[in-house]
Amino acid sequence: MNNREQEFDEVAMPQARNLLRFARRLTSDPSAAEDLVQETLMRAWRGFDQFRGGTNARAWLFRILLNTFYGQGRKGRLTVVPLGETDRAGANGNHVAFEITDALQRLPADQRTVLMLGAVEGFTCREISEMLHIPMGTVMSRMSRARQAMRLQLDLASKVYSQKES
Amino acid sequence: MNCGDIDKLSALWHSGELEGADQKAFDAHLAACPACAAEIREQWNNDTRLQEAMAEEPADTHGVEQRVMRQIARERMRRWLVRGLVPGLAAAAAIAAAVLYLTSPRGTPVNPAILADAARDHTVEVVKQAPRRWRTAPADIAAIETSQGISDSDVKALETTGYKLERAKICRLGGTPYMHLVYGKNGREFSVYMRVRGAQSVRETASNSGDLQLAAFTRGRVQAVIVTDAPRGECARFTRDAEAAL
Repeated sequence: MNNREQEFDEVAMPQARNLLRFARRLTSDPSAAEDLVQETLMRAWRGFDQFRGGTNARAWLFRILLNTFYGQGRKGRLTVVPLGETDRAGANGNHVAFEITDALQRLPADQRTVLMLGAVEGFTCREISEMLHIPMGTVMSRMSRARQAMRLQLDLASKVYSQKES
Repeated sequence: MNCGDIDKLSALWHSGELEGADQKAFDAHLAACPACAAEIREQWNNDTRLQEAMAEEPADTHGVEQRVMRQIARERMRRWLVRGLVPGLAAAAAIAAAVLYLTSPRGTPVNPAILADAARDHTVEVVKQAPRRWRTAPADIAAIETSQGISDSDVKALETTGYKLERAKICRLGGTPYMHLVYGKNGREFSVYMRVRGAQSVRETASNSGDLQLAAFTRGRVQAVIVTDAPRGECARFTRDAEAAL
């Protein structure tokens, strides 16, 4: 293994979990998400010579993942991910985790994508704009609508949960 | 900055991209507007809850990582084959083909009777210097060339080997007329039996008979049999140079 390949292992492979978590929200099933991550990492490996050390490897990898996903003709076909109860509720199976992931899944696909990239993965609006090839203003407005929708969803879920408890 | 601006710029505030005067104006509005402050605070809390929920979500990457590593190993092998082994194999194949070409039988084998006659003729006429009617004058040699259909340039070309044409005559090898040319340098002599080849080429040959070295080749329209009592290496060099010169 040469230095470049070793660098790939150190830079890209640790991102597999984040990529998989994000891919599961994009694709319709967990196995499709795994395939997407595998393809993403292979494309990254093949194109690693173009990656400049010291730049944001996470942003680079997520950009590849999104390009791969949209390149497969999946644009506009984002669907609600039929994850299992355990997946949606988190490892602890608590209702808070269930509510928040359920609310996320109810968002329109374009809002869910920017919210995942911004709120969960921590990318800036500028980075998201570059990843999705959309104007910065569009990212900002989608993000704002996504957060408002999340709040409404969670308020509603909270009320329903309170009624059940009482 | 009003409530509409807060809604518009909230994404930048959350991501930390709001700077300078905008940042100050944003914070000032939140301090003065309880509704916007509550909204932003709630959004912040929801982001945190979402991050925590996602962090708890199981995501076993072992299978993916294993598949990626296996695929990388396969592609690495493929790259190595393409960049390293294939050119190496191609080069080896080219060398093997060249060796095969050079060593494989081409044309018809030289009639052994011709080689035997050439060896005997060289021994008698060159080594033992039996009296023969040699032609040494260029005009006479040219006349023999004409009678045999041999180009004068071919005859002279052999002098590029470093050996000078000394004499020539007609002789018969295996019943076929050949122009017998003797080239010499420093007392070392080579008999070159030359004729315009027929329909068939003779197979490139190198052998020895006693102290004699023999070689035969076809080059262009000329067929040549070479006999010498020079050492094997010198014969090989002369033959190679002669073949190149024709």
